[in-house]
Amino acid sequence: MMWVNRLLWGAGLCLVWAGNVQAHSAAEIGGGFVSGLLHPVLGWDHVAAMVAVGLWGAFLGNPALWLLPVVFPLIMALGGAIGIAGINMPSVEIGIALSALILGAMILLAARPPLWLAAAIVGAFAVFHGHAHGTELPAAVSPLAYSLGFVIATGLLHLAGIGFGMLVRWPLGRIAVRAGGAVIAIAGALFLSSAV
Amino acid sequence: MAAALLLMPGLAQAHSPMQGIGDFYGGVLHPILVPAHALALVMLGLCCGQGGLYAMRSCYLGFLPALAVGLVLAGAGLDPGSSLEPVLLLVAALTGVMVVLQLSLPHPLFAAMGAAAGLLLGLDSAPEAVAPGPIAAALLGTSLGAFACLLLIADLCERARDQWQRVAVRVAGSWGTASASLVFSLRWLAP
Repeated sequence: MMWVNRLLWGAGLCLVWAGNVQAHSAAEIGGGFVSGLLHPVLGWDHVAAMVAVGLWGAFLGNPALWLLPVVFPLIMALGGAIGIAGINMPSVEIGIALSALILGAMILLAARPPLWLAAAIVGAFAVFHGHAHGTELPAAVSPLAYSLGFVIATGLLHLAGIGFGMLVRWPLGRIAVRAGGAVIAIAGALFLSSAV
Repeated sequence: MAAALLLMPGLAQAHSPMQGIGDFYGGVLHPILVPAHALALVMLGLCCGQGGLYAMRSCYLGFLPALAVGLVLAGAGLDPGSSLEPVLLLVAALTGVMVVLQLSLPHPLFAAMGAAAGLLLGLDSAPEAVAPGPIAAALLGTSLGAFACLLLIADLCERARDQWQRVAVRVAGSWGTASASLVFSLRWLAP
């Protein structure tokens, strides 16, 4: 039965992928999906914050490990809706830079707030990231493909953070993870200085 | 092999009739080629698969007749225009929220969700063919493609036993909800 399970999981994942890259025309959908996929990856401030979310989740352990990456896209969609509606949010770039700084600092300091507080912090920053993505969504050729692309890219960056964060099981790994948090916090400070 | 077959639609693009593959196969691929349809089917499959076998059966019982009704109406020329896609996205977003929350829902609700998604999907799948034969072939293909997609995702999800698999399902639900609600917002909130 194991092979049936593996076959179905593989087929299902490919089906999800196929669904994402299709559309009314190949160029529209492919272009929309790829540009959405690249959008969070090409902005270092986004990358730092996304990786930090996964890293902090791994540091906090279950259920934060999966809860934070689930909360983030949901609240990010809310921020995106605010951006799409044309509602101006003050200091979006500062909020994004602060997200890297604060989340990096949380990892560096090995902060272990209650789960609800960790989710609230991550959710608050997700609004800024979502707003930045949302304001660019109307210009996308295929908005659904674009949004799927950037949501998936965001999730994969979280996954990268979680993967690195798994090192906390070992004493040296714990130091490496906290050092990673320090790097993210320093990068956040640099983003903040250029955003202010 | 199944994975390779499912990747093949990537080569055959476009919303409807695809040159060279015929009306029936065009219909089979239609639910996978239209992102809003694929997203709604994936979210529905995840939701009912998460609910277990009885939830899946209830969902299919609602989905299949409603899909048939929707397709027949679409084939008969009922054209709802482009207004159905946002509603499908709303259904996808709400279903995705249920996947994230992993709620234990009453089975009639799965039937209702299946019926809503099936009807909307059917109505939004009007074939471009004009002759009765090709229309029937396209509609039959669409019904098979949509049900196969739902069946695969639901069965896959129902088999998710390990904790990481259950978490992956919930993460996929959050991704689907985020994408669907963003595009839904774009339709209604963009100035």
